Amino acid sequence: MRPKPALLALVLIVLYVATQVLVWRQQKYDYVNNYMFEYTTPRMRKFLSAGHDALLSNLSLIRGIQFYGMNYPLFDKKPTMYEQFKNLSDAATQLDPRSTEAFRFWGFAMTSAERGDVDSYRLLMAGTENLSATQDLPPTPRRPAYGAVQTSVWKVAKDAGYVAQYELKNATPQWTVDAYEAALKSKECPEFVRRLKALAIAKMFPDPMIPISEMLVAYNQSNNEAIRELNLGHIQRLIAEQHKKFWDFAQAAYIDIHGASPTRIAQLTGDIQIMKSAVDAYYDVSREWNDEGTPQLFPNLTTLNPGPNDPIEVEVARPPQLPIDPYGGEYSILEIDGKPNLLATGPYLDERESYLAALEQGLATYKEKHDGACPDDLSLFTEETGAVVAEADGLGYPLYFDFENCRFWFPEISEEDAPPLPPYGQEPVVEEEPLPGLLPEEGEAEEPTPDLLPEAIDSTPEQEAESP
Amino acid sequence: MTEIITIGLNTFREAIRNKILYIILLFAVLLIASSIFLSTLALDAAIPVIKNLGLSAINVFGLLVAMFIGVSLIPQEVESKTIYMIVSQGVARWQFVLGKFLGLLLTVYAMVALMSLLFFGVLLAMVGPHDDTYLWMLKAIFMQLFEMLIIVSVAILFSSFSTPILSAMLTLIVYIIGNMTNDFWDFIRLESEKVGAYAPNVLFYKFIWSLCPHLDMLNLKKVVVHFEELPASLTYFPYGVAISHAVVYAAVVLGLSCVAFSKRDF
Repeated sequence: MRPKPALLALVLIVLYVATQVLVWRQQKYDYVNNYMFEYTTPRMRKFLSAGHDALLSNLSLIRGIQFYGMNYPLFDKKPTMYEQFKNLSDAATQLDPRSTEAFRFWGFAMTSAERGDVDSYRLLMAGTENLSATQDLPPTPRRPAYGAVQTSVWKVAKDAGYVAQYELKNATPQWTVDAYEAALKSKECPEFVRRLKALAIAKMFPDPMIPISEMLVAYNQSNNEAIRELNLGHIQRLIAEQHKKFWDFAQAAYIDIHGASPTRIAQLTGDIQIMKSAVDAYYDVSREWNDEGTPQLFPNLTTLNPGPNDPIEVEVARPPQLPIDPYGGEYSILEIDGKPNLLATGPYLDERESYLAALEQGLATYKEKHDGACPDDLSLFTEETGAVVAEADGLGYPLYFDFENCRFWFPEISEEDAPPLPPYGQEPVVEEEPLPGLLPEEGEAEEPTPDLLPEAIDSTPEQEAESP
Repeated sequence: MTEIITIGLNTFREAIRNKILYIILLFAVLLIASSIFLSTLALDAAIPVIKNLGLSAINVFGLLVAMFIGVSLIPQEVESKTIYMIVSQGVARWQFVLGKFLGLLLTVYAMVALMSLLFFGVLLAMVGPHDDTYLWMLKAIFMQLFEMLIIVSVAILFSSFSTPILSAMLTLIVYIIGNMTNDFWDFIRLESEKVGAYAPNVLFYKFIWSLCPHLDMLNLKKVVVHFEELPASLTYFPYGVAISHAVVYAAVVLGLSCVAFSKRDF
């Protein structure tokens, strides 16, 4: 009897399914063969592309973008996925060593994994080297000779510097500086890269003149007012940091000698012994960071508040030249909540000036509407002009309004008249009630107790706004 | 000379009626047009993707035309016995071979021209009219014409004594070998550093290398996308060595085809 075709078909299907189930259960991930496939050498990839390596590089880039989008949250949890992703980067960047887009994409994407920051930096620097290759340089197996330096090389080098500076948190500042220097070799490189390099150098070398010189070059090379102002702001901040170091040495000397913190700048500058001690201390520090072992004092910005096109000069101070507030004010020690705080008053004076100018504008608008009459009520003034009348400035000095002369004014910043509030960035200290029995009795003079060193002054609002 | 041109033009007219040509052209059009959509997946690399895909498509489909149409030109004439009519008219065998070569070359160049027009249309849509890109792409396509010159001559060589399938495979293998000669040269360099430049095996490798067509010298796809030149082109007059090599190689291969076909019995 001949078997029916339908029955035969059914038996075959069952057998097929059964064998497939058996195969599935025995299936194991072949790590060796699959890894061999994934870790193909660059030469083999080029060999297999048969002249279409640029296209294969682009397809690897597209695959890499898709892979990243699907799997980037798993890079830390599953190292295999990160390795596969990295392998795709090798494929794309080795098949087309002049592909800026591939280097930049993987340079950014690899930082999604914790272990990827260093890989990213290395890849971007390799890309910089490839894109910088010219006919004049002898070719190496990794860097072929090409006709000209690629104009987009600065982007790749800048990305490498960014990774070293912000992803690797400047753990190796030399890496950051090397990357930015490579970027600056390109004519198309914008000027802000020089500023980033200077900030990296400031972390690397304690000598302030090196980053300041970079900023000066950037300032002088630019015709853009906003950029000049930005560079000037960085220079002011770097100088102020050095001045703070000097004043810290002076305060430490004062505390050693007098057993208490100074409350006036004049207490420091009026004592030759203290100034000498501060200068010597600063000289010792600078001898360590200067290659020749020669000392230098802090830099002073001699051109305060320069105009848009004015040149600026920074010179290293010589004793007995004192620190000149780089913001154009004065150095003061203001007692805030019973503790002395060393401040550069320039930023606060600038802030007052711009704030008062805005209020003057509001007053002018009010007078126009009211035939030159001065406002009787400040709330009405605020309502009509929209100008916000603050209670105090950043130091806590109250804002006054002279109804007679119709002007707003702040009291002078002076060491004799301490402000009631701490400056911006500092929390007001809440006074705790002293325990009974510890208060001095009436008539008994309080003994001066040695105070702790003054709190470190936080960065000014301008510095905080400009910091990356 | 008249016979060669006549056979060439007839071959061209026959080839453009071949349906395979239009199927290949259709796929080429689809691939080049699809580069617009593929480029959207490539972030900043959209324009390089379009350029690379377009140039590679022109190259590959030119090769396919040479393979599918070229390898059957001579065998078809032999099988259909029309070769006897041609030869009896006083056309020499070498004239016949050169005529077929010319016809196939014209067909391939016509395909390349059509695909190039489409490619430039896509570029116009994506890049705009005022760009240096077009000149650079023209440079790459111009060099690809010489690459096709070699491939077509090789296809004619194999078709003059072999079956179509074998001829197609051998043409493809020669194309792949031609794009690897640079790597082969690196291998020879490494070997000569180990055993010396005049060692027997190194000399043998050099001999084999000199027999290969150097298609990578004519391959500008990777460099023109980045607006660059090949390093060798900056040494001699622009691409002179590569073009001379292509012309001479094709001439030698055609010479061999004529010899092979003249010895063939049919």
